[in-house]
Amino acid sequence: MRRPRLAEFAARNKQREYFSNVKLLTFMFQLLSMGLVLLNSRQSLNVNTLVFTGLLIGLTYLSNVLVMRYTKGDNYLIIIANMLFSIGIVMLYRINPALGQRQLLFYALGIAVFYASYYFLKYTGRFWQNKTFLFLGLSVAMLLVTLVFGRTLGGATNWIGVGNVQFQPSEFTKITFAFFIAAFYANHDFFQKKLGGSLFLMGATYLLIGIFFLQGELGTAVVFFAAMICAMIAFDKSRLLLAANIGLAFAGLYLAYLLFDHIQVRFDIWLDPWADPDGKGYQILQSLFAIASGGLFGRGIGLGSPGSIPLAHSDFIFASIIEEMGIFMGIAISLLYLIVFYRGLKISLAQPNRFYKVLSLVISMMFAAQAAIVIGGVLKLIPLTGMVLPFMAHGGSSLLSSFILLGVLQYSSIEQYPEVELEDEE
Amino acid sequence: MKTKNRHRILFLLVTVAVLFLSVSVYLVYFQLFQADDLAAHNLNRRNYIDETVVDRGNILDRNGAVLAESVPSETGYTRLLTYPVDLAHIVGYNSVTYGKSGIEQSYNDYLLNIQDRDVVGRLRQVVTDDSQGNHVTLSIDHRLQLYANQLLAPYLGSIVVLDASTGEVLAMSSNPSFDSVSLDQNWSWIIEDQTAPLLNRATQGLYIPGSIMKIISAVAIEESGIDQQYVDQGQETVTGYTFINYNNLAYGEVDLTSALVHSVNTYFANKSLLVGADKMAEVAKRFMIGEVIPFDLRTARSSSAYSSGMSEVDLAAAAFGQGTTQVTPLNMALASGAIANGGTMMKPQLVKEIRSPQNSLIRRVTPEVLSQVTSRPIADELKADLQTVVEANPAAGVWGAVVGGKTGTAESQDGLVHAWFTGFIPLEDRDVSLAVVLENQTLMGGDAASPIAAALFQWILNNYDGN
Amino acid sequence: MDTIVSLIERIFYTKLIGSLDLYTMLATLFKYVFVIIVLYFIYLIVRMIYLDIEQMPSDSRGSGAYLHLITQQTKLPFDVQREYPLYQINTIGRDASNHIAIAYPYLSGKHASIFLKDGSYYIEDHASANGTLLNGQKVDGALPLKNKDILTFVDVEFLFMVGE
Repeated sequence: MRRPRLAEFAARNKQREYFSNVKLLTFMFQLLSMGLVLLNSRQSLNVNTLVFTGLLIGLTYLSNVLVMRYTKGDNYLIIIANMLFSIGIVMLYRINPALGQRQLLFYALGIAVFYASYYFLKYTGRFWQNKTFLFLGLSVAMLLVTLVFGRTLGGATNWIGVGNVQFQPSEFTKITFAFFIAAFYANHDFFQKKLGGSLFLMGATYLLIGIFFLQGELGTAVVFFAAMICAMIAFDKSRLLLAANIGLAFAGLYLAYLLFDHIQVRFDIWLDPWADPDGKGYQILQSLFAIASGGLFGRGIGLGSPGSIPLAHSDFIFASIIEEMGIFMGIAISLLYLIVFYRGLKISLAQPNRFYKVLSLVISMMFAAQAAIVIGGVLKLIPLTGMVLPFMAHGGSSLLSSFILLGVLQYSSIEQYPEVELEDEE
Repeated sequence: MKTKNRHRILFLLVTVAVLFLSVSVYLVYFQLFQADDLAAHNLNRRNYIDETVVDRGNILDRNGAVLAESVPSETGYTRLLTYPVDLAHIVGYNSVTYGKSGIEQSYNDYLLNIQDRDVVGRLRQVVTDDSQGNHVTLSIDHRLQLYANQLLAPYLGSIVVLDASTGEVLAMSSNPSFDSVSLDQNWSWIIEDQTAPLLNRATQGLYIPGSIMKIISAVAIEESGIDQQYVDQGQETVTGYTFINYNNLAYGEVDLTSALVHSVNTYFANKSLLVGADKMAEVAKRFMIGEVIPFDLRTARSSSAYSSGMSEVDLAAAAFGQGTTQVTPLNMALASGAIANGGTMMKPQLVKEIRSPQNSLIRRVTPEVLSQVTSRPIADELKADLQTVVEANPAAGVWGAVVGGKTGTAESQDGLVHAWFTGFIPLEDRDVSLAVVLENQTLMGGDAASPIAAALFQWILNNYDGN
Repeated sequence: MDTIVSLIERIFYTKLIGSLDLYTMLATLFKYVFVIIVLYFIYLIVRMIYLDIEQMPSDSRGSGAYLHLITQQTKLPFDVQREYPLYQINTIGRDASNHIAIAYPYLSGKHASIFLKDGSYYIEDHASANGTLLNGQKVDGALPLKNKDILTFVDVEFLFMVGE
């Protein structure tokens, strides 16, 4: 019944070969691109910058190698994330070396956190599967704290300052929310009997989304909604409820448009940025100009003018990348996110444990939705939302939470050995 | 159960895959169809980055007089304009805040030497270190331009003078004008000025033509082969509406020529019904009325009153230029030029040639036919008729050449009129045509506009020979 | 550091041909390289994934082993599929969290499981209330399965098939 061992062996060998090629490619990319960037920012060259570059290349290589040795499960997640990060860090450093160095520090932290999350779940995985209320409570608490104590930056009240450091709790709410949905569906029977089933999920989600709207975080709200809807599509039996949700979403969006000024403004800018090209429409127009100036292969690192794009290092890093590295690079980035999503879904399909099945689906959807929304906004396909690309844009909280989610996804991808499986059953 | 679940997850996968793939396709589409326009856009700072380090090319008139040039200073290059007011509408302004206009805008790429956007061109540019712009030579004769401006100064209106055989624009005045050098400081009150100084009336001013429309109607009448005799009794009634001539005069027996000489409204009202709206519309179209006129500057489209199934009253009125027809001075100068040029309307050109800083030729503009308004025999016939018109009303005439043309008096507002003259002067080997329009006059076209035309014709006779 | 910076200036930023300096030439050359690297990267990943999928038969539908329902469906007042493909591990029971979930009240929440070990399938009863039968015999612990064995979970009968 088993396949001939020889074929398997050959396939494994090929895999190994591809894998080392992949590592080599990442290494080459980083070397050449950082080389150019360092030359470009030669004025601020010092020992630190060289150390940092070495750190980047070393860490990436290490994390790629270690994933096979120290984790079971999907090998692709971290290498794709590393490649995305590499493309991003090149632009970040080029735009502002100080920002680049900060991002590198967070990257080191992120890699550590990736493995930490994995191991954390490895030893406590069973415990979390029915703590639905805990996760919901944490999510709401974090958001309320931000609402009350938060500072407004760039139109969204979502930053908390602790001493010198600022971070965005909403990024970490993603994690607790993902766990919440997973726990909900893992214990669906319980909720079906006691709390009106999926209505409870909906209520909770809308509550969170409402808080996001109040804070002006349009994008994250959509990501949360997308996560809920996808979980419902995949795991909920009630088609009616699904349709109702979609209807509610449109109604809610329309209502929000009417109620909230800042949402109206965003739509207006999206529909006609030329109406106020030096004021409200400035950002998106500069983004479009940048993308248009790139050509298929870009102008070359250091040869474009990302300086004319506002927020070139965060919200619009995609545009900066296309200006200097080309349309093809933009397509490549989209494909990379797609592959991450694909892997996540495959993990979900293969995972029989309900909790982790749902969790991996939700996390994949969060990555995909966020990437799609940001790219869409930068290209003026949809209104801008203030979100940033996972793994690529400047932002410590974003980077860390992305790596945590990735670590959780990594854990969810563990293959089904009977012993492990049986232990995880409820 | 599990398979349904599997199906649903696969559905999600396909949906998201389609989403990302669509984005990729859109990126390619964007590059192919939208990128070039955006990259060259006015507001794109990237096009400005070049400027302080690029020696922007000169703009010259047809005789080599410098109209605009860039001079170096410590802060980079600054733009010097020789005639900031007189040539404001043609050369245009070059402002960091408000963008560019005129030739500065439409030939920006050449002036910055970034006209080659393809890879090979760019490579060549980079390798040969071309940080100097190209020089653009206009067809304008600055002496004629200054003279025309001078003649136009007391009025609001426009003058267009062009070489009918080649289409080259020799002068293009629009009053009021503005100072393109101090544009930035004065922007707000220039914008609020009710006389609209930024409007280039020559290319974008739309006026009711009045009697000069009769030229075009005459072509239609000739072509249709109808009986050209008419007995004028001073009024012509069309479906209950009565048209009269100026001063209520009645001219008795008239043919086409005398109808033009005396500008008999009733004649044209009557004959237009026989010609028919369709034919009138078709001829007007050949004269580019209602059509987009390609030009180096932005032009407004003249609007034609003619349409199939229009009422008889409207048709009659349109035939002698009252009604909803609106034309630009450029259009009318082209129309006269076409008549003078054997029925061939040449494409208007503002740029003669473009040369590199090393004086090698990059582009030379050759004359192009825009439209054949009518056959040569009919055009020549009209040409002779128009010369007879000026002979009989010699205000526009000069010694030494047989000028042809037509005056027009178009109703404006509050009892005032727009005074028109359009016509041509035949020189040895070519014709030069022009159009003059003066806004809101009390005097008629013949009295106000014709003398200006005469002065211009005289200058041309004395100074222009095709070079 | 300053000497290094000026050295870099001299090597990379002096204009060599026209307005081209070495940096510009390198950056222009590399932009093609970068796109190629990343696209090739994606290509490799896709190939690795494809290889993965090819290798899958042992734990996807193509394993070839499945349970075929013998008892007539119409007689049963609950949802049962006609066929269940078998993976490396398959739990059977009343709970929705089972691989093969049959909402039959007489089945235990976690009734039994069929798993693959060393290339063969085994049936194991999890001390269920009403027991599991293999070819009519009560199953205690784990027993090996062979093609065409009949498994009975209370009233529901399946044929264990190994198709190739």
